Amino acid sequence: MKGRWLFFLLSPLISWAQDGERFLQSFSSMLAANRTVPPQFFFRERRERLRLDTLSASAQNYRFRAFNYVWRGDYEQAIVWLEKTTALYPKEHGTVGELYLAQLRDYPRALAHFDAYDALTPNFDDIIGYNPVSYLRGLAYRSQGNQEKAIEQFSKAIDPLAEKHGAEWVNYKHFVSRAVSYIATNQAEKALVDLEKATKNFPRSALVYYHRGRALLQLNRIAEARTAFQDASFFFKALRAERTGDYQEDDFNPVYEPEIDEAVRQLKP
Amino acid sequence: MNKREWQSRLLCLLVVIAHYPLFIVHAYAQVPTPTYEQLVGIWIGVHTEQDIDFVCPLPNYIRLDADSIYHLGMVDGSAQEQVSSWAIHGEIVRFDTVHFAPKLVTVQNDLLRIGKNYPMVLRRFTDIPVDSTRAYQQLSGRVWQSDSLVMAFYANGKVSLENRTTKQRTAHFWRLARFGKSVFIVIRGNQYNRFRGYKPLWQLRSLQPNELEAIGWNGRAVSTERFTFVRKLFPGDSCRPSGFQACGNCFRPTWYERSLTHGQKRYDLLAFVTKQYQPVQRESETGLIQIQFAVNCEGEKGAITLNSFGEDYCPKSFAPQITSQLIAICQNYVATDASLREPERPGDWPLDLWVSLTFRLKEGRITELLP
Repeated sequence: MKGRWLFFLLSPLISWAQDGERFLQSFSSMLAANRTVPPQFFFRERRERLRLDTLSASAQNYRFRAFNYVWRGDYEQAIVWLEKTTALYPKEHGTVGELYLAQLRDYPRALAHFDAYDALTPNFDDIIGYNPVSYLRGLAYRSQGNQEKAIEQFSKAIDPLAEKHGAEWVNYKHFVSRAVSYIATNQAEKALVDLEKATKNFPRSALVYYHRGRALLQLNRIAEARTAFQDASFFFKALRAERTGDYQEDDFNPVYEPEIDEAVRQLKP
Repeated sequence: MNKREWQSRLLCLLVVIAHYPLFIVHAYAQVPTPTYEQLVGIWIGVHTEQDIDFVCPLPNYIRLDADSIYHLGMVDGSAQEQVSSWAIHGEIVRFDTVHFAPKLVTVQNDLLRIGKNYPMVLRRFTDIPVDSTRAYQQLSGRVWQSDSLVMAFYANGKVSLENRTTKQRTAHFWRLARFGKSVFIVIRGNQYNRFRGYKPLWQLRSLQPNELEAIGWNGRAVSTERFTFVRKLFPGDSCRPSGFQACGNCFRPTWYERSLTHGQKRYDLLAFVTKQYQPVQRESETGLIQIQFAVNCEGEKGAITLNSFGEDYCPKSFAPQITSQLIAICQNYVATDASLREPERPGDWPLDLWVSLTFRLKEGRITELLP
């Protein structure tokens, strides 16, 4: 009993001390961080804004300034700078289009920038980041519900590469995107062909197995669909254990654990 | 590609910006490297300049001895003092094992500034003998005010700090700490407990029955502030914040953003919104609605900020039937999901958080939740 009283009396002091030890640790870390001078001030909005004002005119600086406004949620200024960037530096149409697609989910504007970017080098499927512009255009069309145009663009991104170098050189997510559009247009057989190729390129993909299950379900191949959903569930859980944070295999084709679990539950024998 | 990936890609590009070295040379050319003699002494933490308009108090001290011994400790003695060494080699200053390039450690007007990334400011300490028992008696149960600050020291260890200009009041805990012969007022914690960081330290300089002087950061500069006695606290007075108060004493909303737009959280939020939101079908209700608010570690919500934009991204108002629904949905969702405030590591404190959500609407229907 006496010991418990002592614990209650001392515990605030112990916590107080722990807080102090923690503070000194963080002070030492900050001291070390201060030995360098940063090229930019992440998470220091006001200081970073002043720095941006001092930057010279260049494609990178204009683009970065525009992106900063997007991250801050100042959409009015963001759009001014995005459009100014592409007006002065037309090669930026691609990156700006990708931002409209991925961050702002503004599909008409994304398409306008992808078209402008693609027009810079006719007869060539330009690359934006890691994707051909046709693939990104396909995603924009798909998001607008235009599956036919989406399939056309996805095919433009996938087929020439597969023919020239082989299907193993195609990003498996590109196959998944086209398969999703095939499923949406009741072309499950074609979807399965794409998903088969996708599996070869990434055999542990929950995303691929999930859509394989959907395609098989559309063809009324229930037992195979069940196996595919179970595989999706297994790989989803395995990947979740491996990765930290809110991991999503493909932001353009999000798949969630409850959806997979529900599909498995629906097909329980 | 999410926001972090965008940021890391752009960081790589910006590292090679050609004019960056020139900028640094120009900015720091004016300040001389301090001499050994200038650095020797005790330095009391003032704050870390996290941004132009935002500082976080430093409750520690650095003691730099003439025999090159470096001491780092807490003014309130809440941690074991760390002992190491320090030195100056030409223009390079070393504290412990950290070497600072020329001009990164400066001394001006008895203020020591360390670094440019998160500049840490410490002030030169002068020991001023003060009777701690008398100080406690004079502060406890009384309200004191300076030109900018009102401090009410409750006998139960709580203290409220009120900004005289903004009238914003926060609640914390206080105690006196002896450092050398000096006495410091140490204010820390929040409205709930004694932990989660400090407020600026005040070193007592003189005590009179109706007036005291203390050295500390007054919000604009390190100065000797004169506090006058206002009144005794009444038994019915309670120590409460005037509005939303974060649990941490270094809370900057955007640093504590909790993303609800990726992975499972996105799925849960979208399911909640789909279930709760009643579309208001009108052609004009098209564009973006952005909702932002803070929630403290106990689940108390701060004021809501709502910004809305048309399809052309110019500011635009939406029907109140839409905005009020979205505000209620966002707040209810965050309030019902206590896991959002769970600490990242076991044993850590629950988190304060900031939520920023942007919905894209088409004719009154939600079509997208921006990542």
